[in-house]
Amino acid sequence: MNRIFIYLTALILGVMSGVHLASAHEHGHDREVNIAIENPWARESPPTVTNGAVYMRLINQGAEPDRLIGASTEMAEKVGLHAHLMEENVMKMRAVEAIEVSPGEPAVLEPGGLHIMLIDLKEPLKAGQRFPLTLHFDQAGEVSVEVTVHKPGETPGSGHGHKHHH
Amino acid sequence: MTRGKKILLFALAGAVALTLGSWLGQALIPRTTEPPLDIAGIYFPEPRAIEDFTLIDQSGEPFHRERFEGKWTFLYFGYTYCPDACPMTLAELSTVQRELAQRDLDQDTAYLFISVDPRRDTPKQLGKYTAYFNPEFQGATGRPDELARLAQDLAVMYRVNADEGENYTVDHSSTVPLIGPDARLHALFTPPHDPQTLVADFLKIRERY
Repeated sequence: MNRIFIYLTALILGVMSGVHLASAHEHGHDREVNIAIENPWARESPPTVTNGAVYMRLINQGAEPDRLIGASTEMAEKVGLHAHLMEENVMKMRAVEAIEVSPGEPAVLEPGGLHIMLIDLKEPLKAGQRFPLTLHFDQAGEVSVEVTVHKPGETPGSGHGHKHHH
Repeated sequence: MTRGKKILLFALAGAVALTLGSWLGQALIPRTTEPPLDIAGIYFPEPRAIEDFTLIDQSGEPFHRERFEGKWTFLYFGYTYCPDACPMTLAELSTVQRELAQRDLDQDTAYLFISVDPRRDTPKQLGKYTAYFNPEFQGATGRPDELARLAQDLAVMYRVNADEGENYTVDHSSTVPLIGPDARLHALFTPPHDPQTLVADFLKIRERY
């Protein structure tokens, strides 16, 4: 009896989490996974360039800290998490293992800072295009988002020192 | 009478000290008529000399120092594989060009992207890359020793992280050196670059020239 009850609970929980994940997939925004993703965008590929950067704002609406540990997309052979370090005006790009997403401290991926790097794009990114990207979180699991491609200079929220308007 | 003379002497000494003090003050404190240029970066009142160099431009032609003569050149050192800082800065410089053009102030300006990654960036590739950001932009690259020499004269630093494998990155200064019509370095604009500030600072520097 007990065993059946446990199985049943597991099944129900499994279905429920499946439902939540599905809604996360649809909206890229889910209270159950507690990570809200705002404005995912990428820059159009300049000619001859085979990589790209994806930016967004990650907001942890839960009580527990989480971390973005990776991402995947059909658009690129490889995807990495990168940070920029500015030391005496020298820009250094480095791979990072994870991006912390703590409650009350939105993680801002923006030009000149953190980004998700698409390595070896299968085809150049075109302005106006949208493509799916799956984010992998330590706690929240997988969350899918739609990334919008913008022309350089028309990139939303890319202005230095400006706050995002939401 | 000696007392009166003493007072006069003191008064005289005081007047001399006052005059001397205010004269010294004026001599030591920068003149208010021509204040130092306040820009988002470093301005060189004595423009810095640049040694001659040979790069290759986007058409495969040699690019020497004399190409800087007669116009103001905004420079940026980077590499096309750079996913973030380079497209961001080139987009900002494109805004600068368009803003100056709109105000009919761009006739004597040029914009040059120098790749410090000649292993991956061919001159032809650079032409396509820079034109994408702005048709007025030019690209150039060259032998590592020539690049290093020019970069040094312009206080630009870079490091090719060859140990990172195929998809290696390059650390590089994100400053925008400004070359004057005398082919000398007049200023280094430091990041973050705001196109409006760049335009205003450039106009101040040009006016002072």
